Amino acid sequence: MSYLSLNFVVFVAILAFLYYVLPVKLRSGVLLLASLFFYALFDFRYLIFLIFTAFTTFLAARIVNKVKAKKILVGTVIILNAAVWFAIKELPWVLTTSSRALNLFGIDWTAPTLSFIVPIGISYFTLQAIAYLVDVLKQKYPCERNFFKYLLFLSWFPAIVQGPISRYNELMPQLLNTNKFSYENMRRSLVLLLFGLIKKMVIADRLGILVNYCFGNFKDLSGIVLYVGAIAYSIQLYADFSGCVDFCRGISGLFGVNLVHNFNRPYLSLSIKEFWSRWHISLSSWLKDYIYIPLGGNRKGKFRKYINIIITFFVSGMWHGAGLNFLVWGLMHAIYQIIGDMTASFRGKFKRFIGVNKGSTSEKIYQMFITFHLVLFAWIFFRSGGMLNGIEYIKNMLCSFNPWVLMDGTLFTYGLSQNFAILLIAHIVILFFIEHRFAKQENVIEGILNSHLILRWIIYLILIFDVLLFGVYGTGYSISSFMYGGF
Amino acid sequence: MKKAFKRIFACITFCAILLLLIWQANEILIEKSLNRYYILDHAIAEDNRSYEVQVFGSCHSYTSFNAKYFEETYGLSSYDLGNSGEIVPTTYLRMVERFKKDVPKVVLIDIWGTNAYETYSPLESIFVEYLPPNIEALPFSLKKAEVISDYPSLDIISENFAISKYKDRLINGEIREYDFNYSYDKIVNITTDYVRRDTSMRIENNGFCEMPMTGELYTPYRDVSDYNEKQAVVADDETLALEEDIVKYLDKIIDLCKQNDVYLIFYRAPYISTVNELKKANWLSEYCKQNDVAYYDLEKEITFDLSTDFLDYEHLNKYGAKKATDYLATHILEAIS
Repeated sequence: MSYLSLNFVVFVAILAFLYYVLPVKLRSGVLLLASLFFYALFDFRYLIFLIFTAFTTFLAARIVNKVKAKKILVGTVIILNAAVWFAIKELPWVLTTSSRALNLFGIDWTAPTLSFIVPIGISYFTLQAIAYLVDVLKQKYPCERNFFKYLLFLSWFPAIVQGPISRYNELMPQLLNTNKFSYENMRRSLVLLLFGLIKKMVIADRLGILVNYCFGNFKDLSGIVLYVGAIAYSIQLYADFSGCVDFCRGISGLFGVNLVHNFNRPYLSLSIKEFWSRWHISLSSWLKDYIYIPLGGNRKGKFRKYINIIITFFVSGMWHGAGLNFLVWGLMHAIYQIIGDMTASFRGKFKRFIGVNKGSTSEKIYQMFITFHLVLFAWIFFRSGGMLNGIEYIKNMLCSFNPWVLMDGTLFTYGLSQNFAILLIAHIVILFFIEHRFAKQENVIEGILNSHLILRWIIYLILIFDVLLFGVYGTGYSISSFMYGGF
Repeated sequence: MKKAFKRIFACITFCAILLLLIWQANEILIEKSLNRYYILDHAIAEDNRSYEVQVFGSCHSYTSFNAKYFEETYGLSSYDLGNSGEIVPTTYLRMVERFKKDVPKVVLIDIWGTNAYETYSPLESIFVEYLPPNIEALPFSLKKAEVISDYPSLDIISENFAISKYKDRLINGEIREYDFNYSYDKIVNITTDYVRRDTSMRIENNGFCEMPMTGELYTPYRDVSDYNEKQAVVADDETLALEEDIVKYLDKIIDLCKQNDVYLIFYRAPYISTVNELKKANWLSEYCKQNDVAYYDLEKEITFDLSTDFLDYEHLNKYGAKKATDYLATHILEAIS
């Protein structure tokens, strides 16, 4: 069952009704059954993987503080779960690539053809389970004693497909909370959900038309067209993923459960390091807490720090998908950070030398511009479906200078008419304005909710009709699934 | 408690406003000039008459039965309600909706929609490939939902909310003045659209499309003197069963007519058919016998003049339609008496 389907709307409506009507004692049971039902609708066999991860980590957490070889136990369970994840998501690609590499050296070896089912969301619930186990080992909180409650934490249906990656101590108490029906909460959640739909259906999917054209025909395109395509992809990915998170937070909020924020205006970051504290926050904080810091972080000298950064981003690349392009994408971010760190002192001196005021607006705009473009180059590999494709895309983009395509209407022949382009730009500007307001602690949603009834209703209607009239759905379009759901 | 009631009232009011606006948006956005049903239904609604004989089916129905001539000659009010490419599930839904407003004494259905659609498109994709606007103008009902669920190419949102199908008209600047007026009067003023012009003529003739026409809309006259050579030959006892989804809706049509005490007639207007179409027609003939429903194969039962009665290989012209109408009229009058 897709999040963007009529069936899902009916499912959530029935579940929300049951949740608030049934006695408090039964609520967590209902949520668990609903979450498992939702997950099983994708493929019944997916449940095997979910329950395996839940059972092994639950059991290990229960006994970890009663045995001597704690770390060995936790390490074994983590490796076991990571191995399952690796086998499903990475092994077929690793074997095929190894076979090709060996063939290049004259060694004749054909990789066995492996075809596993790939459970949706395995990358998310595996990370949640590992974090829980490590936290219990570190005695950050006591272990869960009820397996079904723990299973609910891992399978919580608004977050299982695309995150955010929640921590046990943040999500579990909310799931077990005896939330009373709150009219305010419902309104807030529904507005958040609408914002998510606009980001996804009006901005991301509409941009996707141009992005698909550019990345599908990059061999025949060049210069500014490909540059615009890359920018469009950067915005599409952000609108899609943050839209999904808003949507999931909205759905979750209907049950009184607040999921974590996953984004904080990432494209306004002044450095790559800052970018990673603003983009996919739940994943980057997981990588920091459970990979980077356990490896030693920056406590063991510069060299170890750089190695740790490389390992962390290598894992991040692998987590995002099987392919050399994902590894290249991850390693590019690692190299950006390392070079940034190595040249920080020199760049500071140089700026002072040429008279740039530290913290000035012009410096910030420059840093923002550079950071965005570094991220953009990495996204090209992320989207291109292969390392060589990424290189060719960048080559075609840089080897031709044709700015007139911005003026002569060429861009409007790639599936996005002029009117739709204007509509899209208006939406993107409004999106960034709203997010800017959020960053200034001016909660736009609260502003809407607290406004006069008539104004409030007009805003609700505008938001709803924005999706209905300008969203990508219905005849002539196929609603694409959320992009991060594939990881 | 008072606060809770206030909130419930506010929610209901908001939902009512929202639905009203969506309904209005549907009415504005639906592509009227492409949708014969939309135009015909609005014209009939403005007429506010009841019709004793109603004809359903494909373009073969409204080119073979001259409802206006029938009404003037035989004194029974009648209307051709068919639409191009209409297949049986659509006919069923159309009949259900029509019967809510006006139950006729006799219903005629031409059988193109039971067996010939495959000439144009496979059954599973006919709604999309041959004539997409076929059921979108029909109001939402469980019966419509059932048809949609039977045909994977249809989806419940697109077929019920014109807003989802035609929303791009707004941003593409295709909204015209007549989109804000739901009567036929405004649409009739457009002179460039093929469907509108065809339907405009039908409205003047109780739904009958009088061919040949002058002008570029249809080829004036096509020589069909080799019709008999082109037509496949199949023995009467050679049959091919219709698809389950078609039979299901034929059964529903028969039940609907029985429940409303309507005399039902299936007929086949002459047209060049494939072997399978003719075999299916034979099967349908047997099926009608078993279900005690009248069936007439006009190609077998009337002699048409190839030099004067056909518009093309597919359709009769007004002279052929007169012959067909006279023949069917005798059976209709017999049934009513």
